[in-house]
Formats: sequence, structure tokens, C-alpha cells
Amino acid sequence: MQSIDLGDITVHNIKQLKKLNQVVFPVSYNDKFYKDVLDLGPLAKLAYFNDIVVGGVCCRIDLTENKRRLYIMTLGCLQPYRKYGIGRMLLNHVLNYCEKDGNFESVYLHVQINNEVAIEFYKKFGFEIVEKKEQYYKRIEPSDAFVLKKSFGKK
Amino acid sequence: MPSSNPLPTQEANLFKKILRCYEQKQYRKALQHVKEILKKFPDHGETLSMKGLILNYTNKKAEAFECAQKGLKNDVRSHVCWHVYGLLQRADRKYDEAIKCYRNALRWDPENLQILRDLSLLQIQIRDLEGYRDTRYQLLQLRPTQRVSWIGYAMSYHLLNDYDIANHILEEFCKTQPKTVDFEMSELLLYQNMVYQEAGLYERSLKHLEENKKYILDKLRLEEKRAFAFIKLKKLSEAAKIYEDLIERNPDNVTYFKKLEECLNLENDEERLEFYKKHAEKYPRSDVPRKMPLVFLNNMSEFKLRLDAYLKRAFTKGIPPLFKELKCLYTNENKLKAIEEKVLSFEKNLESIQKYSGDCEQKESPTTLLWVYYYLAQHFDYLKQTNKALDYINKAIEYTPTLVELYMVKGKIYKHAGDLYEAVRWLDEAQSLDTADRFINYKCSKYMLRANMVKEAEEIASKFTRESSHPADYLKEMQCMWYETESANAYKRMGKFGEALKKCHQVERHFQEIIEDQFDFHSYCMRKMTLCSYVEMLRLEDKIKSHPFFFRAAKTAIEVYLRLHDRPMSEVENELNVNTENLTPSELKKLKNKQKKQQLKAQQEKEKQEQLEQKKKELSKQKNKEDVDVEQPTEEELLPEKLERPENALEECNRFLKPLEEFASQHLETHYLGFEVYYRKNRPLMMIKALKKMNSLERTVKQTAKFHYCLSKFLLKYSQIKETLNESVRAVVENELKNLNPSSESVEKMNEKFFKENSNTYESLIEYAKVLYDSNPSQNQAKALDLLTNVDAKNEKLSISYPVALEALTLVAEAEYFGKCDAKVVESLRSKLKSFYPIANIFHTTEEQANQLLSCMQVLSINSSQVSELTDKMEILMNVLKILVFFLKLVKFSSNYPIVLNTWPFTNATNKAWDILLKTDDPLKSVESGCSECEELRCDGTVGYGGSPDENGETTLDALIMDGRTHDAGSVAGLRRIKNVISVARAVMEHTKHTLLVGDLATQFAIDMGFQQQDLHYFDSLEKYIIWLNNSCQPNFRLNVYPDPEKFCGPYKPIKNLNFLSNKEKRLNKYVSKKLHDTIGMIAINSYGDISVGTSTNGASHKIPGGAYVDNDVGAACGTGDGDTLMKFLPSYQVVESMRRGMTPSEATNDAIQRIIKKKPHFMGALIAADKYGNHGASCHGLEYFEYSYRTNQSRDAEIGRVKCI
Repeated sequence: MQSIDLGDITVHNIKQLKKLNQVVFPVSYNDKFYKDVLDLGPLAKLAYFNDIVVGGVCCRIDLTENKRRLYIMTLGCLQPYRKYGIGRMLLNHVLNYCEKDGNFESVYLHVQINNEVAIEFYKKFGFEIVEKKEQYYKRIEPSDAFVLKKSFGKK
Repeated sequence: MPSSNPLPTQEANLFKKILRCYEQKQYRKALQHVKEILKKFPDHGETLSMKGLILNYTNKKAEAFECAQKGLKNDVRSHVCWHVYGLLQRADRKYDEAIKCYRNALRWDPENLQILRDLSLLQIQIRDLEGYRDTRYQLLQLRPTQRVSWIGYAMSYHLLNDYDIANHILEEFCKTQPKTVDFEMSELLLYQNMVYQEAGLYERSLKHLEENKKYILDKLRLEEKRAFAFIKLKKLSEAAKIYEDLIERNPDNVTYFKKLEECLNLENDEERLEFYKKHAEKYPRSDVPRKMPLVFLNNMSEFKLRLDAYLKRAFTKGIPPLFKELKCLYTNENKLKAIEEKVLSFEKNLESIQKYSGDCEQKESPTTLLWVYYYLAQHFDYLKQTNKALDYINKAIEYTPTLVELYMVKGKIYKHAGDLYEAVRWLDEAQSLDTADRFINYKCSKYMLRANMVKEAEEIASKFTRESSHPADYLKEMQCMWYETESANAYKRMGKFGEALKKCHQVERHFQEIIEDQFDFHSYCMRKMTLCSYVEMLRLEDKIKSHPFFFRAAKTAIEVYLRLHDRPMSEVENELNVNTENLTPSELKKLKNKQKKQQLKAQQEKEKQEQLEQKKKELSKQKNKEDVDVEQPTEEELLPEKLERPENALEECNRFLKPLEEFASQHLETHYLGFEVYYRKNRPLMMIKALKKMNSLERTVKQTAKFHYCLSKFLLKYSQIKETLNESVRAVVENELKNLNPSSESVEKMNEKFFKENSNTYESLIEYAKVLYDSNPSQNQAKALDLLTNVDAKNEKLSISYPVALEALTLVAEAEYFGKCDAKVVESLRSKLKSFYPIANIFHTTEEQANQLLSCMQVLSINSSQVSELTDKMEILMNVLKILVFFLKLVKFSSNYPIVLNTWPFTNATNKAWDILLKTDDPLKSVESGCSECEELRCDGTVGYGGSPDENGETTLDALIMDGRTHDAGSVAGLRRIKNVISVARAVMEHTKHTLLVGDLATQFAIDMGFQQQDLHYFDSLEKYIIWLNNSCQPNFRLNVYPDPEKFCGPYKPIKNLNFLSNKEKRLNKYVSKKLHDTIGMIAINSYGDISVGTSTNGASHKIPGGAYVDNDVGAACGTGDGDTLMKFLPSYQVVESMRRGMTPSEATNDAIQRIIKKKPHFMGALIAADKYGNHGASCHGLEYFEYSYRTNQSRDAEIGRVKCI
């Protein structure tokens, strides 16, 4: 018996996202991050597996370099709940959002260079490594990151 | 209207206007008209009465009564004046008076419908059923066409249990009614049927239901009533058919299943099992037919089979309350074992193969294992295996940290083990994860109240109260009684008896309000025809005070009153106000002045507040002048100060005790409380009555013990007062005693017998000890106390539940049941009980409890930024302390900082650091200069230059410094040719991003920073070096090299392919002795509680010295001794973390040393620690004693602390 759903992030359950991120990511996010997440609307979602929060995604719209791009800040799932299609559901939600919007040049994100599982995952969805940023992370090793990008046809 | 004093037309019209205005609640306008009439006819009775009525609605009660009385006096023959006066009495809840007034009014106007209706409402309200029947009869006569008249009349007979007449009236009435399909008809028919069934007329009831089937809209009720009647008529097969249908409607209704079982007359377990199996198949989603067999099955193999299926289904589905569902099975030892076995095997298999067992086909989803962990945590919590329970819940949290329920269970486990603060912490965590969940919010605030955190509880609860009003007011308005009762208990524990009573009285008032609120329903339900519900409501209200909410509040109130009777408040207060005996006269004077000032301040503040409130009231009054609707009389305000000083505490109990005796007489506790009250009142017959009641009830072990206690107490008392009683009383008592104490043994004998039969439960032991003491206080005190203290945690036969343990401590320490006893006795009882409940807060020392509370406060999610709140917390803390100090009379607790602390008795360094701390209030500077001083003075020869030379004969220095404010640290190791090593460490902290610089690079850095290079040789270090060389290079710290380092000098080469385990012992530095090898470690806390720590050494080998760690929120620690061993254990960090979890500095250092010697039994060294309040402690191993020095405000010179080593 399995059910996977997406749910909104509200001021009432934001701490669940925090708990989640604390164990899923080696980087810790500051209070401002969580304050801003509350204003993201559909760009931030929690994933529920059998009614329990096990994953989440947070994106923001990036307007630098004269482009309109979507940047995935975090996308993750608790270890025991991987390989159940939760990441896929979260990423599909993001990609659908972009498609519906129709005005994004691309969607991109950073991945630690040794995180092969993640890189494979994104490649399956048509992402490509476009850049390597050295010393991207401050407190974790390796500190280098790949930029993974998926471009949308029209500009 | 007949009035003895008619008005002229113009005024008569005005009077009519008054009535209209009054009905439309235009009180101001009405009063204007009143004024106009009274101008001409100042003595007009009815007008005066009306004025009174209106005034009452505008909250001027006294004036209203005056007017109404005056009006009545001027016109005693007016029904208006009587009616008004009656209404005023009714509003004042003097129902008897009101009824009299109404009757008088009816004398002058016997057919006044309004007055008759008002009268009937009052009569049913006070359950004057005969009066009600008569009034309803009059109303029926006057208005025979109205439906309500008939039904009201019938109901009056029904309530008098006169079913025949009631049925007759209803049948007659129904004949006149055309049958319609609507709600009101349906309700009427159901009501009629209710009366049939209550009269026992089941045939008629069934026939009635058959005939009116299509008019009864509530089909469920119809079927239930039919089934009920069939069972009564023993027509079981018909009833069974209906229950089958009802189960189909709702397959989760346990009662239907039980009734059906009853109807089918199932003989044995096999038949029952078959029955439930069939239904389980038919209703795949229903839980009931699956669970029921688990309850009745005694065949264990069958049970296990059913259990397996049940559990798998539940875990896969993820049912959070599963444990609660199965708890009822735990009374059966075998079933408990079977469940444990099963779930543990699930755990094992799910962890390894993600299946329940090897032969399962399907893999389970990851949540299944989570629910298994969750279940096991609760399972072991139930079995009081706290550690195992915590292991499982932590496993679950690690597995899925986002599931809120896990944190609640974690809190619950801590609560059951008595660590209330830790429990609060986890409930708060749960609450913060889902702030929209009211249930968790309620749980959290309840846990806070259990830990006496009243303010915090209010703050958490306020997340769900209306913002415009104060949370406490809102909760009171909402009749939130669990909150008030829990608050009362918290206040009681804190010794704030007035506040506790206030809350209890509030609960009592809520029940009064609930009874008052019936008033609205008497006319409403009749009008709306909800007759069955109305009758049920009346019956519920009749025994509303049997509700557990009332019981709990009443129990607390009575206990508080008993306590206030035994030790009235004024006396208690003096005791609380610090132990004045130990103070010098000048100190006493100071203290008194301080108290006076405080009192003055409190008074001023109170006055201010009162003024403010007055203003507020006036404001709101002005605002609402037009539309105030104050029907209820204003109640007397509950003032804690007044409540806790009752004139006669025992009389005050009545308000709570009487309802308990009436409505909760099935609880033994009721009569126990009653006994305690009557005992103090010297009422032998009432005591006997209570004893008789207790004797007639079934008793648990604890209750048997309580009964034994009461009986013994009565016998003791009776032997004293026997002579003073009159003969008839004595005869009654003697007669009753024949039953209560048939063998008429002496109290002593009875007590011994009781002890022999019940010595294996602690609750019995307590009561035995109490009786023992009471029968001869002076002789038996020690024996009684000894009995309670001399219990062994290893004795498996003796079980002590947590509440009972708590009761014992309270009895001895707080209630001083056994008289004043030595602090040592209390202390030993406390520590003995601690061995049963090691993490229960209450069995820790005062100081530890305060620390536990504070560290709990720090992690709470609610913001404690406001100063006022902080003081509130301090107030709570102080209250906890006050009470504890009061009963433990042990520890003086206060913040001890500023303080400087130093390993070893290097007092010069301590004094230097103290001077700097006083001058600069900078703990970092203080530590730096203290260590520098030691470097300069070459304390003990092991700090500073020219100390312990290394193998090359050169002295190298190590130091570390850490600032608690920023949590930054700097250190150097193997520093050569620079003297001020601690300052270099500080430079590393402040001028690099590194934390550690080593060797020549460190020296280079120091030179860059402007430190002077110099020769660190000193005459004795050279000398030492030569001696060392001549002694075949002994002592030697090398290991696993050749030539053998224990015999020869180097150069050495490593030995390869070693069995390292065999070298375990060798790795210890056995040459370490006190003289050889010291480090200075220093802790400084400034006046704001900021902490720094530093350490400096020349070491015995190249290493970072002993180690030091500080966390500004907790405290600091540092070590000295065999640094190589210390480094492997991070003991300083361990000590600080242990203090964070509530250990005292002494306990924390002790614990850390224990951890070391468990692995390295020959370790030599010591740890010192200070918490952020300036409490300090030390522990050591490998020496006999360890001395350290410290200095605080209390002394003019550094003092030496001395601890005996482990």
C-alpha cells in the first residue's frame, strides 16, 4: 500500500521541511531560507509517502544574466524512502510548472561533483552538466559543484 | 389589568411604551419614559418595579432591588410588581424566592400565561416535578389547542415515572394530530416510543414502531429501538436479523457485534471465532471482527495466528493508535509475550529483507518498519523498560525525523520515567513541527503544566485562543476544564495554594454554569420538539457532577483545604521566607528592608492594575450601555490571597465533598477524602460512614492500604475520644466496628498483620509506616522512616510505581508526616528512590533540578526574549527552589559567578586571573593572564619555559584558549623558543582562520605577531635532560620500537606486524606522576556569565594539552594529567555535554573519568568543570586526592577545592 502526494508548505509545517533538509543535505540553510520558502507558493512542495513527509523541493526564479531561469535550491528525499518515485514526482512537478509557464529559458541546479546518484537522476530527465564550479561549497568536501541544466526549446 | 393604582390615559400609554422598549432591549429609552411618569407619580408601584427591572439589565443590581422593593411596597396587589420582583430573584439565582413571588403574582392574576410559563420553567429547573405538573395542567387548561401544552403535561407525568398517564395523554393528543411526514412528527413518535419502552411495554412499543415506520425519519434509532425491544421480549432471531442489518450500516460498531453475539447464543470460543471470521471476510475494511477474537481467545496457537494477521494488516496500513488498541491484551502475560515476540521478529525481518518473514511474497513499504519501531517504543515503555523504549523511538526518529507522533511518544517515555522537563522538550518539538494541530498543542501545554511551567503552558495554549482576550480568560470562558485542573495541580505543587483553589473553584463554577444553562433549553426543546434529547439532557444534568472533570478538581481542592487546615498559610509563609536563623542581625535587617520594599512595590503595582481595570470596566460599560445583556448575577471575584486564608478550611471543603459523596460514591477516593475531612472535624459517625462505604467497595492494593490506614487512624482517635461521646453514639460506633474490625484487634496488632500480608508493595509499606508512626510518634519515627528508605531496587518482588515513589517523598519531605526529620534522612530516601527512577527530576538534588529546568527552557520553541517573561521564568524557578529548599533544606543555590577556576592549587595564577577579571570583566583576558602568570612562574615546573624537556632536551610548549562568547578557539603545539605560549594561542585564534599551529611554523607565526624569541632552557631543564640521558632515557614514551625503549636510548626504529591488542596496557603513560606532568587549565566566568577557558603546558610529549572546551550556554571544562590518554576521550567536551543534559559539574566530571577508566584503568589525571551558574566540581583518578583552586566574590584569596579520587 503506497500513496505519494505533494502538499503545500505553510507556516504550520515549515519545521518539517527543516528537519528533512537537516538530514538529507550536508549543507545547512539559515532562517532566512525558510522564511523565504513560505512565499514561494507552488515553487516549494513537500512530498508525502503514506501521509508522512519524506521529501521536498524548493526553487526560485532567477532573473540574472538577462534570462528568466528556474533554479532548484533543494530537492531531496529521506534515505529509506528513495527509489519509490518521490524524487521523480517532485522534479516532474517542477518541470510541469516550467512548461505551463512557458517563459523559462532553462532550469538549473548545483550538485556536489561526487554525487553520482543525483547526477544520474537528473540526466534521466534531460539535464546536462554545463559547468564545474570550483570551491562552490564552503564547509563540505569535495567543495566543487557541477551545474546541471535543462534548456527549454523556445526562448 | 387590575391594578390598585391605575394611571391616567396619557401615562398609561407611556407605561405601555416602557414595556415595548423593555422587550426590544431599548433600556435607555425605557428609562426616559419611566422618568416622565415618576415626575408626576413618584410613588407609582408598577413604574418603580419596571425601573428596577430595567436597572437590573444595565448592571445596577443594588439600585434595581431597591426600586423593585419600593414598587412592591407601594402596590402589593399588582401582579406586575410581584412578577418583576420574581424575575430579579431569578436573575440572582434565588429560585425558591422567585417561585414564591410568581405564586403571589398569580394570586392577583391567576390566568397570566407569561407568569405561569415562567413559573413552570423555574419548577422544572429546580426539579419541583409535582409543582411542574400542576402548572403544566393549568397551562393546558388555558391553552388546550397548543401542542406544547399537551406535551408538557405528558412529560411532567413521564418525569414522575407515571407512565400510564403519560402514555394516555400522548395517545389522546396523537389522535388529534394529522399524520405528516416531517421531523417534528418523527420526534414526537420516537418520544412516545421512549415512554413505552421505559414503561416496559415492549409489545406495544414494537407495534407502535411497525405502525409508524414511515413517519419515523431517524431510521437508525428506529432499528435500534426495535432490536432492543426484541431482545427484551426474548425474540432473539428477530433481533439478530436487525443487528446484522445494523452491522452492515456500520461494521465498526463494537456494540452491534456484541449484541449480535448475544442473540446468536454462541457457545464456545470456536463458534465465536467462526462468527468473527465470517464477518471479517464480509467486511474487509472493518477492524472489529479482527480484533475481537484477540480479546477472547485463550487457545494460544490460534491467538498467534490471528495476531499475526492483525498486526501485519495494521503495520502495513500504518495505524498510529495500534498500541492503544492492543493494550487491553497486556493484562494477559502470555498474550503480551506473544505480541512482543511477533513484533520483534517483524523488526528483524523488515530490517534485513524488507518483509515480515522469509515466506512473505511482497516487500513492505518503508513506512511499515517505521510503525514497527513506533510500536516497540510504546511496548517497552509500557513495560517500564525506559532505555529500550528510548532506543526504539530514537531509531524511528532517525529513520523518519518528520513524523510528529514519534516526538510525542518520546516525550511520553520521559514522562513515565519522571523526567518531566525532557518530556516537555519533546512535546514542544512535536508541537513546533505541526503548529496547526490542536491535539498536539493541548498535549504540549498539559505536559508543561505537569512540569509546573504555568506561563509556558499558557503561551502554548494561547496559539489556539482568541487574540483579543487574555488566554486564561478565554480558556475560562470556553470552560476549558482540563487546563484549569492541571493548572490547579501545578500551583498546588508549587505551594501557590490560593491560585490552585481559584482554578478549582472556577471548575466548580463551570458546573454551576452548565446547570444554569439548562434554563434556555426548557422552552427551546419543547418548541423544537427534540423531546428524547431533552429528557436525556435533564437526566444528564441531574448527575453532571459525577463527571471526572468535577472529581479531579474537587479532589485537588479538598487536598489543598486539608493542607491549609493542617498548616495555615501565614505560618507556612514564614517558613518559606529564607532560613532566618542563620543570618547575622545586619543581614536580617537588610533582608527585612528588601522584603518591605518588595511588598511596597507589589502593592503599588496592584493598585495601578486595579485602577487600570476600573478604567477598562468603565470604558466597556459606556460602550455597551445600550445593549448590555447581563442576565447572570455578577459573581464574587476569586482572589487567591483570600482563598488561601479561609476562615474554616474544613467547611470550605463541603462545596466539593458533598457533590462527590452524592455523585461519585462509587470511587473509594471520595470516602478517603471524606474521612480525612471528618477526622479533622472530630465527627466519629461521619468517619464510620466513610469507612463503611470504603469497606463495601472493591479495592485495589493501594486502596486496601488506604482503608487500612483510615481504619487504624479511626481506632486510635476513637480510643482517645471514647469517653467524651454520648452513649448512643458510642453504641453505634461499637456496633459498626464489629463489622469493620471483626477480631477487634489492637491497632498495633492489626498493623503488624497487615504488614505481614502486604509487605511486597510499597504503597502498603507507606501506610504501614504511617500507622506505625501515628500509634507512637516519638518511639517509632526512626523505624517508620527506615522502613521507607530501606528498599532495594534489585529486589524484584517489590514494585514501586512512580506516583507511589513520589507520594513517599512528598509525605516525608513536604508534608512532614513523620515530623521534622533530619535532612540526611530525606536525602537518603531521595537517593534511594532515585535508584528506582534514575531520570525522574524530583529525585535529583535541588540544584540539579534547577539546571534541568533551565536547560529545558533554553530549547523551548517559544520566544523568551521579553524581560518580563524571563522574570516570570525566574519566578517559577524560584518557586520550585523555594519549595524544594523548604523541604529538602539542603542546598543553598545561587549564581556563583564571576568566578575563576584553575586545575591544581596554583593560587598565584588564580589570583592574577581574578584581578584581571575584576578589572576588565573579560573572561578571555583573565584566562590568558592567569595562564601567563603560571608560565612566568613556571608553576610546578611543568608549565612555561624550562619545563619538561623533550627527547632532544628542548622544552616545547603547548597551549589552547577558547572563547565561549564566540565559540572560537586557538591553540599551538610544540612551540619552541617563545615564552608566552597562551598569548600565542590567543593570537592564533584572533589573527588566523586556523585553530592549531604546530612546531616551527608556530614559532614563525609568533615572531610575525611580534613575540620575542628566547632560549627556553632553564637551569633545571638542562639538568633534567642530562639525568634522563644517564638513566637510559627513562621514563620513555615510545612504544613498539626497537631497541626496547624501556631499557635503551634511541635512535629507534618501528617494529612492524604488531599485535596491537596485546599492547593495550603499555600505551598508558605509566610514568606519569603528579610532579612529572602537569598542565594548568583555567576557566573564567565574568559577571554576565560569559565563559572562557584556557590551558597551557610544556607537556610530557608533543601534544595539545589536557584539553579544554567551553559552550557559553552550558559551561566549561578542562583537564590535566595524562594528556595522551585524555585526547582519546575528548573528556572536556563530554563533560560540557553531560552538563547540558542536566548533570552537575561534579557528576559530569565523574562520569567522564568513569568513561576513561573503563577503557584505560591505569589512567592518571583530573578534570575540572564549571557550569554557567558558576557551580564547579572536579574528579580525578590515579591519585589519592586532587586539589584545584578557585576564587569568587565570597573570598579575598584563592581557595583550594579538594576531591577524593575515584
